[in-house]
Amino acid sequence: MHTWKQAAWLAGFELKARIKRSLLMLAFYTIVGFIFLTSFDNYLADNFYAFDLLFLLLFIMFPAWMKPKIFQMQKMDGDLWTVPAVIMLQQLPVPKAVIVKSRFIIHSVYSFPYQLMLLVMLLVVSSSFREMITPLSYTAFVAIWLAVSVALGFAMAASEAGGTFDTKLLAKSMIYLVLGVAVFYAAFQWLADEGLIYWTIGMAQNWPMLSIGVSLLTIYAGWNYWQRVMKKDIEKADYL
Amino acid sequence: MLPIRLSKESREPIYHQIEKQLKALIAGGHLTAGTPLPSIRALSKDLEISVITIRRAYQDLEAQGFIETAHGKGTYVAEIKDVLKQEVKTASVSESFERAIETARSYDYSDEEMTAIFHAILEKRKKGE
Amino acid sequence: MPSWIEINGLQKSLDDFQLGPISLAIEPGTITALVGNNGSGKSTLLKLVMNLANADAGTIEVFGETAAGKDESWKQKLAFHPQKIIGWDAYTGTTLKEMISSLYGEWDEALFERMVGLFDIPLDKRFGKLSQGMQQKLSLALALPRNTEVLILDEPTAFLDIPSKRHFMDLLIDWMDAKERAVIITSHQTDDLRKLADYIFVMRDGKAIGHYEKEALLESYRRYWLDRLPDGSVPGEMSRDRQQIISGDPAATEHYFAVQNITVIDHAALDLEEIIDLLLK
Repeated sequence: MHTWKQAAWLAGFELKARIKRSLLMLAFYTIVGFIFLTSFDNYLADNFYAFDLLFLLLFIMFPAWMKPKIFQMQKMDGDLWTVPAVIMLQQLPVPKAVIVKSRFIIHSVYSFPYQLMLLVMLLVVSSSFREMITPLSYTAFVAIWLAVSVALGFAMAASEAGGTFDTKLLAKSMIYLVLGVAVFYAAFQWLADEGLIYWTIGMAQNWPMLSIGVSLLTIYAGWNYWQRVMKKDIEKADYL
Repeated sequence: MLPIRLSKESREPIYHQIEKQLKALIAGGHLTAGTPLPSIRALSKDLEISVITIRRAYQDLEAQGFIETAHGKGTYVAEIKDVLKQEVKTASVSESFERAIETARSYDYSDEEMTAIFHAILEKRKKGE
Repeated sequence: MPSWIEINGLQKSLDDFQLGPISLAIEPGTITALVGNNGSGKSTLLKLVMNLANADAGTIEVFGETAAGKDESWKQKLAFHPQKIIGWDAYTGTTLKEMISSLYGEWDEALFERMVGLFDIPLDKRFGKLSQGMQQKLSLALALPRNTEVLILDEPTAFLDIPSKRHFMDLLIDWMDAKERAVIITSHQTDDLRKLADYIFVMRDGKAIGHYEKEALLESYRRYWLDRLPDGSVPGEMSRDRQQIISGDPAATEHYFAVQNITVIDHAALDLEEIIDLLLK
């Protein structure tokens, strides 16, 4: 527990340094989310495909992009990419496990409030959604999406360990990633014959308890798995 | 800061030069008993000499009774006997003469010529006063 | 005396650069200067000591602990002042002090305040907004008061003005005197080397050239003015110029002069700067 306490204390410095900006960003995010979610009724009615992609982008990627640039992943000397704090804290008597945990706390602060905001807004904005969902299935729906956040979104937190990447290789893997998402998305549409969100609503409605259980398990596993990945990556990387 | 001047041209080891000059300052009464000396590190910086060399000089001086180290309080000039003072003075004067003689020898001066120069300087000094 | 830091056969290869093998021991009570041309691997070596990167071969032990091990509690005993400070830009001096002082048990608040006053450091400004010289001053004011056993300074004085350089040197001397401590310093300022270094560790293109006690190094070179230059090469000869010969082995050179009946008109020691020049050629 001591490590979490120290990690939270260290994360506090970074979070406090740009607190006004963060609140502003949350407001901005709320407005963008609100405008975007007004088309949710359309999505439910016509299975409007692009909505899923935009939702994923808003849900997973946006919070990470909200981080102040000065604290984001950046190119250091040579081909070294990392967040500055990872280097700064390793020069101080801070155990690597604490560094990892402080990054995870920061990522949590930049994702969970935004994501919960989006999920709550869905309920507020869309009347058809309100009609089709019960309190229990809504809880399951939120759990599923938080699991998605931890399983996918925290890969970004873990990637902050950085390392020495060739810029060409980096560009190539970005292309592969985009291609991979596109293929997955197309395959999902083809196999399930419905959108991703629609599918998760179905899961939450039909198997709420199972969905909650699997989600919690995923959250627990993902949270620990990505921390281990990040710690290993920090140990492996050369911060020269 | 101590008036120590090291000659890097000289073949005499640095630690020896430091020792000799400190001894001369003490024997000549310029540094009296109880006067604190700079720390090894501070003297090292002033003279631009490593602490290893300074420590060696201090250790030699301590062994010979010129200085003493009170633990945690630094290094002080010790109370030294008049005999020892005299010894240092004589040694210092002899050394200067030796160097002069060496110079004269290198110009092939004879003992008589050297003595003549020596007396002439003494005469000149007397008149100067 | 057991060494505080012991580097043995350390090697690291990077894209276009090969460091080592390097072996170096740091003893308590000493100041060791790492000297070398740009890109000689000094900063890389220091970062390896701080376990910021993984060596390919060799070991680093800090107070008996393997630096690359799981337990990094030895970092409590080392303060690292990097040449390029990363991650501080968004914070004010006050915030940085709050963070750093809490991480070291022996933090000396009085010394910090003295240095802030002496260097006139504005603590309420963001680090990124300070001039290079001011950044360096703040970084030093946040390094010395950590009161660690070992202080690692990578180019600490490059951007300091002359009075600040002098202040810093005096502070470092007092700091060394207060307790048994050790300093590793890299610097291109010869004044730092002359006044601070006890040992000089010379590196060139990633290789260790030698580890010398300062006076021993100074004594191992000599310049001779001769009445005539001998035709053949003289034992120990490093370079010659008109009537002048620089020797890297004075004993052998002088013996040769005596045997060959060559008259030495004058002789003198070399400056530390000249010697380093010769070593890095």
